[in-house]
Amino acid sequence: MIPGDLKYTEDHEWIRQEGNAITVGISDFAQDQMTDIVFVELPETGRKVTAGEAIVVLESVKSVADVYAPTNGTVTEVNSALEAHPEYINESPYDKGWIFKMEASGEIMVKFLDAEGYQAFIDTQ
Amino acid sequence: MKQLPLHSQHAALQAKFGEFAGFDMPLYYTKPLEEHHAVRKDAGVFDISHMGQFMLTGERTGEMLHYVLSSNVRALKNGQALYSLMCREDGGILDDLILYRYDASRYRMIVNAATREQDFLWLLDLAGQFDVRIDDITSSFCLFAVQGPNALGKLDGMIAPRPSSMAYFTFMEAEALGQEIFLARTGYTGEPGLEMAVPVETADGYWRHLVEELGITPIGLAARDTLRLEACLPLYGHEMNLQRHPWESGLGWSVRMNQDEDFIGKMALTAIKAVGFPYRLVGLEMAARGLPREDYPVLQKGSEIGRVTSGGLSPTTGKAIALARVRIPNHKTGTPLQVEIRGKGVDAVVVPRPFYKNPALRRKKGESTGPRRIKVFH
Repeated sequence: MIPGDLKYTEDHEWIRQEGNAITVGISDFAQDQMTDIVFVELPETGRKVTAGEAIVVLESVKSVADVYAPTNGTVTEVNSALEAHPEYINESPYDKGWIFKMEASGEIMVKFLDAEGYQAFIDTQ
Repeated sequence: MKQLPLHSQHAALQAKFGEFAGFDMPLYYTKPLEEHHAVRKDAGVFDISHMGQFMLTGERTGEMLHYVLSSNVRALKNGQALYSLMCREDGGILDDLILYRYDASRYRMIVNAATREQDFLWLLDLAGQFDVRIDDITSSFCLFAVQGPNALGKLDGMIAPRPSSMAYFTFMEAEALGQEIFLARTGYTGEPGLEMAVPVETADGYWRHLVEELGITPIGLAARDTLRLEACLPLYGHEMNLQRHPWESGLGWSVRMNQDEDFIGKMALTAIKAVGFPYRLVGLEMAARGLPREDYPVLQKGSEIGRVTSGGLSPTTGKAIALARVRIPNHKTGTPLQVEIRGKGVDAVVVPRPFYKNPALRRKKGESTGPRRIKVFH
């Protein structure tokens, strides 16, 4: 399941971009690979982040994974419901399982994948 | 990488595979948490055919095993099972295993997959001295564990005599699907259940019967690990290894020290016990948010006093738990400690083991006797 209205990274994150406002989560493929997510460590709001910086930790029963800031900017909001309900990421990765929002600073230099490009990418995995 | 004999059946059940001890093992079929709860609430079946199985035969087999293993093998009666360690001369643990006694001259042994070859060579060397024959029968059988509060009841119609009549830590040759199979009231989940060895040629029929006819949930290694952690059952290479002796591994109870007869490692273990030892294996429960993982440092006022040996979320209690090896006197119940998680000390407290216990696993009064066999769960 790869919604066509989102953009994606090769780290299996999805991005919803509305001007400089960016919402980030992980793809259905990524949550399925991790399986049952049981712990989420979120960043502080207001934190200044740089593109590629690991700012979220996801833990499943057997693995630990980072989620990266997709671009430079500031964290504006986090989905704190995930602290009590990390399973939202498994159950609803594109909706209830969103992870954080940020305000991009300056021009977004990173080239994201569209749905088709992301599908092609995971086919190579 | 080696495959289980029923690899294609697991693949057909959509298993997700991963490497363990050189085998491509099913990690889970649906979701690890669902599988965990299925075993705690109902029944699950594990394909553990990767584990090593040996047969030891010969008049002096009991005598040899009493010398090779650190538990009291002489106390074992026909039809009983015994958890034991096999130690090196210096007290380091070569493996943990379960020994099954048919009679004084015939024993079966189930050992860890990762240590199977090393164990076999170790035993082979000693077998010569005792004129004992040892056969590695691993590839002749599939080994299935059926575990959970409803496991015995579900199997009653399939196996004669009825498994629910068996006492904990006993075994028998039973009849199932027209063949004789090895059936033991042992397991690695903290639930009542059975382990069965069936001939590899007909194993597919048994697996299908368990899963399709009896509706027993297939369970992968991921849930096997969370189940055994809650029950505080040690895993070789994690809670114990060659560099650690039994008392630092929470396994001192299994070692016989008050007997005259010699066994391999006795001299070293006697000296260690006399001198004392600085580490103990403890249970930890996190008092703040964070999951303790293997090898994370355990801190007391900022200084490292131990390491986590296994840890994670307890699906049954929802708490973050760990087994850890810590320096005395930090092992006492109630001691506040921290686990270092990604550079930060996160509060934890020493709690009694196990984290989970099914009261049905206690041996009932009047059930077959024998010292120390069920203590692995205490």
